[in-house]
Amino acid sequence: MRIAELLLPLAALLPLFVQEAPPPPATDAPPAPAALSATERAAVARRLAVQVDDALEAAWRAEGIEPAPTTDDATWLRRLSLDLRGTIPRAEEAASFLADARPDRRERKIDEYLADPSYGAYQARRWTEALLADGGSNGERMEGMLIPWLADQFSAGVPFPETVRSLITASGLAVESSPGAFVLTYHDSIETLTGVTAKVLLGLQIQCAQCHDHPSDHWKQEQFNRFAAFFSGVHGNYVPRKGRGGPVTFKLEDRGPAAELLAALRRLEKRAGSSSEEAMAAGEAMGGAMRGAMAEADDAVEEEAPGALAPMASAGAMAAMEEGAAESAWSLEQAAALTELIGRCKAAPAGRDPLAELEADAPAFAALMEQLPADARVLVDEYTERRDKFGVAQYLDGAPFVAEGKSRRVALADWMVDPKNPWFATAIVNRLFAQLFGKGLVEPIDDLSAATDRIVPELLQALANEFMASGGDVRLLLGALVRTGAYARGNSPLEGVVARERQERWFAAHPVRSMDADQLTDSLRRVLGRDATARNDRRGGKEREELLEEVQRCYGREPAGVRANWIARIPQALFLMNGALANTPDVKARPRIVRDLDAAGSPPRARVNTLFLTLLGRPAEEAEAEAIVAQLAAAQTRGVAAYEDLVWALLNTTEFRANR
Amino acid sequence: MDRGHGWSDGAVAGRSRLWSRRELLGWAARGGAGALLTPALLSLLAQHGVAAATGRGDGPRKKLILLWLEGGPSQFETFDPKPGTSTGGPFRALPTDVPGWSFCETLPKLAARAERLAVIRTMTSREGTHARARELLHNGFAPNPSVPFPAFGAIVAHEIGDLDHDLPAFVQIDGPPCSSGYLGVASSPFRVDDPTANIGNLPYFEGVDPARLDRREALREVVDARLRRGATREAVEADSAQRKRARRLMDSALRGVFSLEGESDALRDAYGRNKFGQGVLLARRLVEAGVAAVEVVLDGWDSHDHNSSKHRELCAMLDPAFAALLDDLAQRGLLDETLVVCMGEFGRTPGINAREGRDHWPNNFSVALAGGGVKAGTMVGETDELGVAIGKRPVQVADLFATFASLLHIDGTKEFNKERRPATLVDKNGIPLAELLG
Repeated sequence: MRIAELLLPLAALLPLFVQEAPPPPATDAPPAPAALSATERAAVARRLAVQVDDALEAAWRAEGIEPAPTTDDATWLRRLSLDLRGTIPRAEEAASFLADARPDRRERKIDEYLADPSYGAYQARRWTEALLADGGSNGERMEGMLIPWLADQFSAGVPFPETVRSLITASGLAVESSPGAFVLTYHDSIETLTGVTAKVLLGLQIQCAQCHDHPSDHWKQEQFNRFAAFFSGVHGNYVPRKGRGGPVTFKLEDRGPAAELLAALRRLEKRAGSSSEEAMAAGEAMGGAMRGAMAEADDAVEEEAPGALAPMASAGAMAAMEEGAAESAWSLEQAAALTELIGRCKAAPAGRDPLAELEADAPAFAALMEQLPADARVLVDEYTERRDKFGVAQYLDGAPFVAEGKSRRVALADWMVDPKNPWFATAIVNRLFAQLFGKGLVEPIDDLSAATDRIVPELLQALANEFMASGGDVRLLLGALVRTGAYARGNSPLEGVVARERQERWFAAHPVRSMDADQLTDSLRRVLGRDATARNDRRGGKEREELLEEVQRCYGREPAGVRANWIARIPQALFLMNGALANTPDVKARPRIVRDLDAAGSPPRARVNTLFLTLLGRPAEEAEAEAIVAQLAAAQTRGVAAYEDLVWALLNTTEFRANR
Repeated sequence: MDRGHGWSDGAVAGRSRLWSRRELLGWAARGGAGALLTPALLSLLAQHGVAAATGRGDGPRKKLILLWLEGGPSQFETFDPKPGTSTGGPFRALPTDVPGWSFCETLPKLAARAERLAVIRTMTSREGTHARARELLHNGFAPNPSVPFPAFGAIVAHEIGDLDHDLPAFVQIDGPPCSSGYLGVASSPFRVDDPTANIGNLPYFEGVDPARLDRREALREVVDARLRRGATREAVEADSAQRKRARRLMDSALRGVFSLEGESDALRDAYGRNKFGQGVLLARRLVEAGVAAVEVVLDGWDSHDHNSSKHRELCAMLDPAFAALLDDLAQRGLLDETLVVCMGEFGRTPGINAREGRDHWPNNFSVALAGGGVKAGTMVGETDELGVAIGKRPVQVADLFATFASLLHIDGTKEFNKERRPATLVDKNGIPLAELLG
């Protein structure tokens, strides 16, 4: 039955009753496609919003919590714009919204913002930040690849389970915009990859278990390794450019430990080959064109980018080689042993352990190992270590992995996004909640199973079910949450810290947060007229990146983890007080009517209002405008100086930097 | 404790020179007065206005320099070598100038100055992930969602620093920012990205003099006043406070302390011409100028692969910088009042993995201390032959922080965060290490 058929008649009656949540979909039915029309989506969103408000209001009554008053239109608009688009509204936008008398003006704005390309771009940044937080070097490049791809996914409304599937199973060449950036970021540590996947997409902190059994939660090291086994065999590499100035390309594939071992052994042989011609000859006889070509390709990688993305298996060999750099010549025995090993690896059927047969005969295995060059021994050790650690794959709910023609990563993705998975939907919905409200229904958002801080847990489960029933429609869920009365609450008026925090925790008052680095960067550019150039063009893009870097330097990149609501640092203060941006507002962007703040024939208030609308999204209050005009008159500040002073003042207010 | 100024039974006569006021005050501040008071001594001290009790008194304020080794340094490749064993790795051990001690060959300069150091080899914790372990070893408490713990640098700034100074009381050089938690904005760290570069945006902007800046601030206050209530009050006040501190710094004659230009080339070379070395030199300048706590971060120790080459590279920065700092502080008479702590969030595994790496190992790791009244030439704890277990004297993180508090005369039992969940500055289960207290 199409959801639309169900809902259309009901949409008309929404104000009269609350619809019950539809039951979770049958487990063998595919998720419903997110193919709702805008009207249909809006109707579902309204229904969900009422559901959220009812649940929260009941909780407030039960807890004896008085909600804060609803916020005014201007504050609401600025909050919505920052949360959905990552930037403040323009002056004209704010002015026309405030003048809009239609009762559905807020709904229209919500739909408008969700259809804006900046919605997709901002969502992409938030998710990229979470997904790549534990990555190391190469971070910027990977961000540059993941953000545009995710932005397209969100803008196009691709069901989130599909997006996650792409992230987990990405394979092949990764060029400029690609889901591969996620796995590539962690390709040299599948333990970290596993930890991040579980933390961000399942809300489970299992990475402690990689070293030892978790102290408080129930995850065991064996469970961790068996889950990480789904990622074993992932191999990322840098592909040499064709010609000059081509795009940087990466390759991501599942190689399997056996194939890894073979490739590494071949590289080793080739490298040492020049000092042992007989070994090479023997090798050539065994191999063929394919081997030569592979060795060549591998060579090219090493030459082009010695520092970039070292393939997993060669690290041990390289280290061993550093230590024994003097030993470039192998004995004939050593070379022959290596050749034999390579032969065995090649001869083993795909998917089978090449060493199984050999290991069964312990003396023969020991003898071969003795004869191998040290570097090759290291490679074999690494192979057996990985094989033993990640040999068996098992899902976190205890079910074993059964191949059935699927690769491990595909099976993992299927398991994760299955509506039966108890963790996926709740983790995602909780994260989206936290994006808008500062905290999730359950805290901390990346450790749901051990969490003790839960607000109306049934609500999270209900929303999670709805989310999956909609096919994982992020835009729908966000649209629902911003339609709630809870989202429209003002900041807490209470003075006592404990009472205020309690009000905020129950979503009865909206928290005061500082803009994140992306929001501040884009808002500054908007205010100071720098985003006149299209966001995606090269010059605009580069300028934005530079400003973002400077803002991040002032904020200081917080380590992943609990972020305080309000961040105030001295470098930030210095930037806004003495930086060029705050002191030389772009002359071209200056609203044309602002020239001389007390020129005869035009009320100064209008000019002050324009600046307030531009920077703070609201007109100045009477008292404020009066005081400002008076101060400027007293100081005899005129023209450009007055404009600069007032812009500086507004930029340096707490209100400007606040997302409240 | 530096024994250079030892008393001989309180007799003032018989020494070839009088103690400097600094020495007297330092001794009094360390609590020496409590042990050896004679009426003559008391009146002498009273003349100089020194309180005879332990605690701050009017003695030179103590300071903290934390050399933070981000990523978890290997104890095998630093202070607890096990050469020639299956776990020891490729390096040899160097005998130090303290009989019976050796360090890894990667730390030759420190080995020659070991008698200035105290080393704990048996630090132990249960936190093996970076984020949690970093918080534990910065704050003295494992992370807890109900309590925003302050980093120890912020505690030092708050308790014994001068929050009314031109310079921020807590400066952090490089590294992920740590937090002042419930202690608030005044003791939050001022972060310096690059010790060799100027502080960004410090000078007044061209065409803006202090008077104009004041006028601008007045305009700003017209708008901010509206938010000085309810939930927004805290944010406005935090911003105000940081702006004031920023302004203070802008106007201060001391702001030149952040520039290394005045230091000799020879000294800059001795610390090492790299970001870390120059950062440690800046730390010395800062504590000399009155900053209470400085943290200098050296990242890269998380050697899951290429462990020995990474440690060789990193120690080649740590060793000269730490050694130069000891020499420099001693020469300027600052060593007794400056506690230097060198540590990371955990150690590294005895087992070397197939990528020639060591993984995380909180079971037993090393911490080195110097100055600040620590009993130099002391080794606390012993690990077994292979370094896989603690032989004697395990040291909990709580004990370590109790020791810091004791050395710096900080009352760790003070309670904060009382409106939400009361917490003491230092874990009350911690027992200061008697071996390290003078």
